[in-house]
Amino acid sequence: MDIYIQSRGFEQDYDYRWLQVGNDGSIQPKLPPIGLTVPSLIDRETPTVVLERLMDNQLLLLLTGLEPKGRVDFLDRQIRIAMAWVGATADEPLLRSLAAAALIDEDYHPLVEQLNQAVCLGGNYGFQVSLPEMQRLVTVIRNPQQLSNQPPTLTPKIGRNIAKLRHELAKELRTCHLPPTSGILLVVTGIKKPEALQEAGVWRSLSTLVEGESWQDLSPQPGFLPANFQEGIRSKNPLIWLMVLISILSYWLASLLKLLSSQKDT
Amino acid sequence: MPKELNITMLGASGVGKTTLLTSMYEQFEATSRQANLHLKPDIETAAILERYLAQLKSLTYEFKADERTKGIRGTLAVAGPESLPSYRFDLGLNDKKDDLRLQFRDYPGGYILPSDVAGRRFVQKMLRECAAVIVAIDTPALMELNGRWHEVRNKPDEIMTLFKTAYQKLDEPKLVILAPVKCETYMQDEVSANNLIKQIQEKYAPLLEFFQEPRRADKIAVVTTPVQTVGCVVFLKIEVENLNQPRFYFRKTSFDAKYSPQDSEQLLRYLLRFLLKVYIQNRNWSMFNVVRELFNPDAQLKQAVEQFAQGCKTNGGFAVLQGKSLLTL
Repeated sequence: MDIYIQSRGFEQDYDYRWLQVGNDGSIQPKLPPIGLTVPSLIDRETPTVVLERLMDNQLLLLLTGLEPKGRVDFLDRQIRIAMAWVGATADEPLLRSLAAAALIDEDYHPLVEQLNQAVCLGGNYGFQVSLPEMQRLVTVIRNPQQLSNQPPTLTPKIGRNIAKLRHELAKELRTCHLPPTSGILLVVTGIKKPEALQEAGVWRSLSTLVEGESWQDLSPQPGFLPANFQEGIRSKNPLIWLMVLISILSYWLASLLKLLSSQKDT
Repeated sequence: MPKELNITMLGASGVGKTTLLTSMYEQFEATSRQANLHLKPDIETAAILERYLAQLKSLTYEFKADERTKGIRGTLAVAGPESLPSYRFDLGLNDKKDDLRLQFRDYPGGYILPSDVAGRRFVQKMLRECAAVIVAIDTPALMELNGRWHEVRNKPDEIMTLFKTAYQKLDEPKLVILAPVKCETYMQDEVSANNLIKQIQEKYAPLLEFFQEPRRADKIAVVTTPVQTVGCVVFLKIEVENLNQPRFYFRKTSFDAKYSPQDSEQLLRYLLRFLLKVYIQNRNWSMFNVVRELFNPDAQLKQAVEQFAQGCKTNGGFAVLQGKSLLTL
């Protein structure tokens, strides 16, 4: 699984940047493969959780707006940290578990405390990452409770970003696997227009701009339906009809040629 | 869809780009209303800038720099430069639909450094594409101890290199606003304000000479608009702390002094005056020029430009250093 950290150093010249943490603990500047739509769906100033299934079927978990206490820059401004994990399908249980843990911890307290140990000021980029501490962080925040793998309810839902709905969403993540579709599956953030989240076809979204205290069902976007739902759509694909037509014509031509050659022989 | 005009902030990390944008936002409505215009932010722009405004208003009596942990945090990009948000405002005449959309671009100040290749490329793109550039200048760094911390804080050489690359060949007119911020201490009287202009002309001399080269002189307007971004503070002292880092301390003018930015509307006046002028001149009427003259549809916009021009200060630290003709109809 690939791990990325975004933060900044104390000094003026070490501004915010993403670093990839290699398996050997080495770090290099590199952006995580976050889809271009994601930034337009999150509030950069508040703690945010995003789950996205990428085109190559990898799964991305993004946590932003983490604020370790007392970590300030040269102007005494609070330094923020963001983390991204990118894993294969086999890593889905771990990523679901981490996302659920982040959702139920108000302001991510245990996570931020661990992160404060794993990401230190200093080094070539103004901050550095300790791989053993990062691995320890995963084991600490990962809920030991056994995950189950029930099929998810596919209807997209949206709600207000309040503790009750975050807890319900965490429970759902622990109980059900994620929808198999690619795209942004989950966004929990601050100020964000509900229409934007709906248009993006997010499976589960929470925003402070949504009214009410319960989940609202949304109609699925065309691209959201899972593979088995798309059989009907595929049958309407003109390319498939063209291929069927070519097959029939080829069969018919082959039969005709066979018939003609047999008549010639007689 | 209204026509879009882009404005970019420019400056090193921590000089006050976002603070300047926020203090300008506070004046948008009042300034535009004076010229019978409305300037309306979209819902997310308003929500974010209102949050920054609240953070600026929460300043304590004595503080380092102009921000504390409660204050405005540094800008970051979630997924690289292209993922940075725009602050959008629709501008129009009060009784008509919106004519123009103003998009302000802000980004992490670290982008101006050569060490951030992608970020620097993004800033150069912004400079090429944006009609106006607002260069935020940390004034205490420029003025105190004979500008000892100016190079370190404001990075004029990096600013110069960026302009040199982006403004090599100009097709469209540009407005460059040199905006000294946190300048309350240096705007007490005409003499100190003039000294501020003198220091800007001296410390940014190579940049100003580049703008004045004959091949681009008629395409660039340069103005200085000092903005007291907080209004209720004065510079206190500089202390050099760990890692040879200067720390600038400020204090409020009185314990209960409230956030009261000064002259941020001046920056906006110069900006709107230039943008509206460019907009009016660039309208493609071609063969319909006769009809245009007959109905004079731009009369109200022209009037707005003139009103902005009348209200623009030209002394006390404010000056048009170059390209006056680009600001007048």
